Amino acid sequence: MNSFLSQILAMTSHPAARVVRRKPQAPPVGTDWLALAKSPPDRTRTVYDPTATELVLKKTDVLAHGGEGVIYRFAKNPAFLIKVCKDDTLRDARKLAAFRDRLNAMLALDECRNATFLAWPLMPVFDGDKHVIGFVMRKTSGRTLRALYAPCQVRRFFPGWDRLSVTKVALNLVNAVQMLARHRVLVNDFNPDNFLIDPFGQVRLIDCDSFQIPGAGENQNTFLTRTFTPEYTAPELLFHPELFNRERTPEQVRFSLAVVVYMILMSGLHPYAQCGGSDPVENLKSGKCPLARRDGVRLPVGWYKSVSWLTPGLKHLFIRMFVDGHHEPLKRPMLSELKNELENFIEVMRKSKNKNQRAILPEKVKRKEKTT
Amino acid sequence: MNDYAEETALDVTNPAPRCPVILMLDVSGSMSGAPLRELKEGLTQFLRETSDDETASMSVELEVITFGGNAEIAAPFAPVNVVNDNPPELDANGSTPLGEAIRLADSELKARRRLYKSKGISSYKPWIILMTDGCPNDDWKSAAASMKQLGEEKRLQYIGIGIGDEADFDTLREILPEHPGPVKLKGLCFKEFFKWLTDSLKSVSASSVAQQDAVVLGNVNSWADLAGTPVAEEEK
Repeated sequence: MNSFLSQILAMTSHPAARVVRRKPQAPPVGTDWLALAKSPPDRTRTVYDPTATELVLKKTDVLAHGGEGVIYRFAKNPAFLIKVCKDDTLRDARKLAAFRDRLNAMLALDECRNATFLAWPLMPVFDGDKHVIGFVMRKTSGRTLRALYAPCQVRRFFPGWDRLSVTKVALNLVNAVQMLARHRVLVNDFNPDNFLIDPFGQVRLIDCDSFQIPGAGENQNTFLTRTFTPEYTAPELLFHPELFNRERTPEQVRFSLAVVVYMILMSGLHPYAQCGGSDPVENLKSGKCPLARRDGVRLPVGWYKSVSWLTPGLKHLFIRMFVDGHHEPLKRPMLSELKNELENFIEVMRKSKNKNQRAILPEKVKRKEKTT
Repeated sequence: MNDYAEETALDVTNPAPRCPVILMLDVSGSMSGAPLRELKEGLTQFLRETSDDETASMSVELEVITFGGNAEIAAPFAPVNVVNDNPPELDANGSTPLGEAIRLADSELKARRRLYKSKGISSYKPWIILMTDGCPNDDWKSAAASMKQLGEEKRLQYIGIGIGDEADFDTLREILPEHPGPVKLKGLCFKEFFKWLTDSLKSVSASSVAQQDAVVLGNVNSWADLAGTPVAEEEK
């Protein structure tokens, strides 16, 4: 109805005038509910393996939505999963080409492809036009690392585990990251949901397409990702987000890994956690670490008891990482040092007859050993 | 005994931020039979699935308040896995003292948040789920203001669900904040609702406290009867 006619009708008693003035029909429920009731896109899709065999992925096969793709169960072989790029990548030829190049670089790393602890791409899958749109990977299972982030969780999900058991998990994680680093593959996102633990303490790494991957040829650039979880991220990246556009450095990875290792050993306490402290990310940025023993840092509940049973070497390493290395990345200890200190701690726990040495929550502070 | 271990209902050795959740469940006489049976099954499934998730089970702390004859705490605030181990007994009888239940929920929520603060534990926005199949028969107006205000300020996720054709949506609209407002349960789809609630709480507890408002909640089509939710009086 044009505006002139509306004005005329508004001045008359014509029945249509009432229609014009009437409030629009309100929906029966708030817009919030209507927004939540929108039908999700249909995820049924047909893809093809390298031999052009058709693989039908039904919407009921959708297992998860990752940051970059949709993960499907593989009905024909439950040991594998298929990840397909999200629609915005599929619609953009430039993004799809970048995905293909990155996938090829990952497929070229044989040792990673053969490592059973990685959900690494095993082979590409194609659309009907022979474009690479996803990949097949191993299915991994286990509890996420968060299951170690509180004593009550360890008791529930891993009955009978002690500090020795969780330290072995930390060591397995360091070994996994070190193996990847040997191939210049860097783990960018230390989100605990990306690490799965089985009942034997083995660690599996998922979301491998968030890793930084070296280019396949000599002239190829490194494949970067911007994925990160702030609580586990080196402070220089948080202060200078433009650094995410550059290659991550081994020092940044060492810092993030050490945060995770510390949290495993300390039942989920963050290295910069303070009693009454604010957001972990703000604490991390501030660099105030209880290990520094400076004034103004209120120790978290139970912190001193748990720390006192760590070996002096491990404590010193954490101080170098989180205190000295907070602003000076080059002071951060090497992965091999972290590995050695964890092995040493495991050995001390194995030999000790004091139950507090292996307890997830020690009952007493360890007294200083007498030296002669 | 460890002097810092689980000496209170609040486990201070768990460093995860907490997400306090109160289920306010109508167990008045009209809920007896199939509705109560479906509600119980839905609640059991919710407790089991939320407890089994490593992330949600660290954060979600649950209290169940029932109102049927009296308003009472059927399960006091505790980690969701503890409630799963000792699930509340639900029996339907009596009238619908919703005002009393709201007053109880309000005071329990305040006390829990004070406890978090005193122990230096951060927390997510609380979730209050109100489920009723009738209209209140006590003074609910004075009780409702405090939590409604928190909901309007988006400091509380306040969800009200009407069950069946007798649910009084006009009163629910006055009790609840404008957003998201009440919605009708599709048939007796309690299980579908509790599945949605589990998924929502998993997503919230996997986010950081600062980013919780950016969490996109799942689709509600399986349990929400949008077309069947009565229109507000002034919009008729």
